[in-house]
Amino acid sequence: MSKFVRDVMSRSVITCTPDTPLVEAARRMTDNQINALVVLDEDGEICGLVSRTDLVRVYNQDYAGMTVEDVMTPHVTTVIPDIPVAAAAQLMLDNKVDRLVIVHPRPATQRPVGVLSLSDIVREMARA
Amino acid sequence: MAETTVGDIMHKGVIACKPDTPLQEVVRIVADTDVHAIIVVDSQGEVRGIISHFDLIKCYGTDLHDRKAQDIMTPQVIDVAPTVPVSEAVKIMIERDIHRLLVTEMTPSGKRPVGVLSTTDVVKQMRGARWVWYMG
Repeated sequence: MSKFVRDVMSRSVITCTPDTPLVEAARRMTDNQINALVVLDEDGEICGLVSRTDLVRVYNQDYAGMTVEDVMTPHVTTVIPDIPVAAAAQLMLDNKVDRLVIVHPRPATQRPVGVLSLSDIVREMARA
Repeated sequence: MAETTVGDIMHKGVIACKPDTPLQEVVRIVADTDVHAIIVVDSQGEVRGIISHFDLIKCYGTDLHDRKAQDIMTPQVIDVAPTVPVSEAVKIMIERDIHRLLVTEMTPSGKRPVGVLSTTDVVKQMRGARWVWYMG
C-alpha cells in the first residue's frame, strides 16, 4: 500500500524568525535534536529554512552577532500532505534537499503544518 | 587557549556494516540508531564506503531483497585525523559539500575508523560556547 506524506511527516514544526540570533538557532536545533528550523515571517508564513549546514558555513567567522537572516536559505521546497511518499522522495533527490516543508492546499497559505525529512522516509522504509 | 580539535568534539565510535550486509538490514540499522550515515567496513577492518540517507531513499519503493550495502554505497569516504583543528575540518566539509567526515587513526595494520565528525557536533559547539568564553 503506498503511503502519503501526511502518514510519515513530522507534525511538530520547530521555527524561528529572521532576526533570531544564530547562537539561539544552534541551541534550538541541539535541544530538539533536529537538523533545520523553518523560518517564519511576521504573518507566520514560511520565508526560509536554516539548517545545520547553513550554520557550519559560518563556523570560522565571527558568528556571535549574526542572525538567522544572514545564513538562511530563502528557497524552501513545499508540498501538500496528500502526495505519495515516493513522489516526495523523488522531489528531494531531484532538488538535492534534505527536507520538505508541508503546507495545506486549502486555504492556500505558506503556514507550515509539518516537515518531511530524509530520516522520516528511511524510518518508513524500515517499517515496510 | 588551544584550538579545539576533531578528536575533542567528534562522536566516538562508528556504526558500521559489511559490504555484503543485506540492504533491508542496513535500512533497519540506520532507522534504529538514528544515524545519518553508516560506514561500510570489510572483514579486515578497512573502510570500503559510506551509505547516506540520500543513497537509501534512492531505493524507496524498490525491492530491497537480494541487494547489499556494496550495491548502493558511495566508495569515496573523506576522512580526517582526530588531531586536525575543527576549523580545518569545517573547511573540508564546506568545500566538499558534505555533512560529515570519518575520523581515522593510523595503526600498524592500516587506517582505522575511530569516530565521525558531523554538522551536529559542530553546531553543538556553536550553541553558546563562545558566550561562556567571553564571560570567563
